[in-house]
Amino acid sequence: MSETPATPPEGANDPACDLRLPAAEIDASLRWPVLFLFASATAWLLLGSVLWLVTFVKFASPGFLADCPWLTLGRVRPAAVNAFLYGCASQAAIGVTLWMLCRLGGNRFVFQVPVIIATKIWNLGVTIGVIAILAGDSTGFEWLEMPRYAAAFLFVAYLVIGLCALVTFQMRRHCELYPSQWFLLAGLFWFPWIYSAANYLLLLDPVRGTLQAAINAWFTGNFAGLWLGPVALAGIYYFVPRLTGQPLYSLGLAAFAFWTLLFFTGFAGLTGLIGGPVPRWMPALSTVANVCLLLPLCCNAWNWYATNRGNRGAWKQSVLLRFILLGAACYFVAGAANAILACPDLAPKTNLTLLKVALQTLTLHGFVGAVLFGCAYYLLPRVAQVNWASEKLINVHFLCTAIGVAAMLLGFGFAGVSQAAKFAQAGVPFVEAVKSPFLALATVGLVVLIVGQCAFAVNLVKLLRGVCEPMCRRFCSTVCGRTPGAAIAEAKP
Amino acid sequence: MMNNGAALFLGILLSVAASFWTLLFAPQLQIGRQQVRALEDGELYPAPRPGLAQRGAEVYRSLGCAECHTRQVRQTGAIFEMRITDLGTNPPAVVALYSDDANQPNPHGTGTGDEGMARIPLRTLPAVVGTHLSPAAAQKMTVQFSGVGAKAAPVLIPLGPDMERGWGARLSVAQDYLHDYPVLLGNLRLGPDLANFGARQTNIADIHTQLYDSPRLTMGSLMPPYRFLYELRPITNGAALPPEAIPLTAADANRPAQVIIPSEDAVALAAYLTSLKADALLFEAPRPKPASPAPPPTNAPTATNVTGAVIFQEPGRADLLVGQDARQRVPAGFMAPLRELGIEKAPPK
Repeated sequence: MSETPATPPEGANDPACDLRLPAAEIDASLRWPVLFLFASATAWLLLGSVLWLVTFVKFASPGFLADCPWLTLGRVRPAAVNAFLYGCASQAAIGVTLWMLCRLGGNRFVFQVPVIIATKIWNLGVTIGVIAILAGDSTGFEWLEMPRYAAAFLFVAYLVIGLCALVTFQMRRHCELYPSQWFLLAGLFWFPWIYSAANYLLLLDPVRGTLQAAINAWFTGNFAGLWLGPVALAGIYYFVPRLTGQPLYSLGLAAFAFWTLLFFTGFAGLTGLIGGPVPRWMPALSTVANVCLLLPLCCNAWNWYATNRGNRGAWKQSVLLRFILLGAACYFVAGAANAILACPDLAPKTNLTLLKVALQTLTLHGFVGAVLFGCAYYLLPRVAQVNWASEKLINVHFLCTAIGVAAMLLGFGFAGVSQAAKFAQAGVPFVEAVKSPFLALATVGLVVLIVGQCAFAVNLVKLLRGVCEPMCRRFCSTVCGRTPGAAIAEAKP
Repeated sequence: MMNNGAALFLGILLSVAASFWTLLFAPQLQIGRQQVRALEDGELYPAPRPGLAQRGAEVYRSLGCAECHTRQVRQTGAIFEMRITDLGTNPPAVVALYSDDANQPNPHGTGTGDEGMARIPLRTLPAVVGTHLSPAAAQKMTVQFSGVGAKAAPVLIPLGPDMERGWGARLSVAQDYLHDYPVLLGNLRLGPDLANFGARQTNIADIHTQLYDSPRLTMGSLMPPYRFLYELRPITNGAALPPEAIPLTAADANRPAQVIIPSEDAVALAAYLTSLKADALLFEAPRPKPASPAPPPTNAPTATNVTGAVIFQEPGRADLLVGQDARQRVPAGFMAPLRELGIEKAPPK
């Protein structure tokens, strides 16, 4: 390991990296692609959350919106999940990836036009996909419900974006790599691989029988673990040292965590099939991998903790750091819970219950969601060159995220435990075994979460208005030779 | 290495490849080429679904039924039952052995084996002389009983809440899904498992009623109503009913009787649901044979000439493992000589 600077560099002020361009110049070059990515991500976030809320209401009262086939429970739920995963989380992850690669590499972003076009294609694909799911053309495979014709859009769009990101990475002006870049690179490669392999083997040239279920589980595990997960980890590795002002505790530990995580996560997705109709060695391998993943989990956690130790009070000052640390905590809890629930004694009882949903929520909204929001709060005002309109809304968003995720975790978690206990007793009627009062807690959690997301959306809209207004003014002044304000003033007598 | 983009790329590629080859390619080699198989009775399993049921599978996928319903029976364990089908030439020895076994607690048993053995006299055959037996205990008993000339066979009984709820007689295995696309195992149980729905529900009218308005049949059901698949029609006196109409409510003072007319999708979905049966007797998924109609008495001796040693050397042969359900194969008066000898044992306290 060479003497890599263990703090993510801010810009040209550091004499050791004089090749790097000034941060402001880098941010300016990313302005439109990143703003576009985050604006569309936020729209999908709200849509996905509302659809998700609809499924909760339907679960409490099955007759709700039941007469419209487009809004039947079995269609709304995958539509909500897909809107969140592909519309929101993936786009936000791409935005964070592009920004962080440029910042860490110290180079300008030169592919504005291709990336904006690709993002439009991506959004078109997600739109087609979500509509297709609601219309009943879902493929039936979890997290791959979008039919072929929508997946093709996503894949083409990603190829463009991924290629641009890779070339950007190659164009870096600072040759030493920081841990965040490792994780980003891993995510960049893993996503197209799993997406194309799963789509090919499930939709284009389907394999036979239960292998489909195994491939599906492999895909969902890797989608969360090796596409969204690494981007969020990159965010944590970037911002914990940055916001605490401390150097990263250990690069070697980070490298060890990186390789073990990369290697074991690829095997970890199949625990849901323990006891299912697939060859037994497959879920068994996943159990082993999940337990082995405790290694990178502990290394990462220790690394962040030890970095943070130098400046314990930092989180009190910075709401961004609170987001990042919340994400890190969720990562830790989710990883530990995954390892425990992968045990061959527990898994047959807890599989097929809401515990799975609890862990998914924790990973997607707690870990990935909180970290990506934290990144967004840092990078959006910098690329937009406009400050957030309201600090208060950011605090509201943080509180809502923390409370919402905790409530959903506990709600789904207790409901799942109760289901696991009652499913095991054949004497309990199944209808009674499914129900749990804790689902109300999860519903409250989701509502709180949505309130926080709305706070983010309001802030973002104000920020975008701040970006657009001067532009409109400049546009009008060049076209008409006067500012709209002046025009209004003239119009008034 | 961590500063070298190419090395990093290579490492990432290796991780991708390892996962890909292990979890996608290797299982393809193992079960990817599974074929339809002939069962004991010569039928092919799984049988292809009829066209209507195949269409129903599309409706099932399209409506997202798999979001709440799994289609996989899971098994948490198995026990053996020891059944004697023939006392052989030395009944007193068999009975003596039977009582010996009954008096000592079974060290290998997983449950209360001796209770099960003690209460059932050997009056009728086949007789269950042991329940809740571990494989080792079952093997030991088989050897003992066949040693005194009786014909004894262990019967494997799959265990688990799924079986107790009546969702299936055995666990689901890969063979059950060969004709499915997509394979909708489901991963969340908010509704009952449907792997064997067609085996437990054969009343089409009930299925339609359940789809139309589930709480009518299941109290407190969480299933959303699929009213858009049906047409609700009041029946006025004298109106001709279409043959597929299903009565929903009876007439009362305020309104006429109502029927629902299933749409094509609903008919197909019901056909698919009734086609869901995954209970064939398979090599890899043993279960007790279903009660079959009584075969001719001459059949009895040939069906039982299996000894314990053979059973456990070939544990895979499902037909050997499951033993025989030869109810009424033994003539009614068979036990009379035993009683005359006075060796019928009273159950111990």
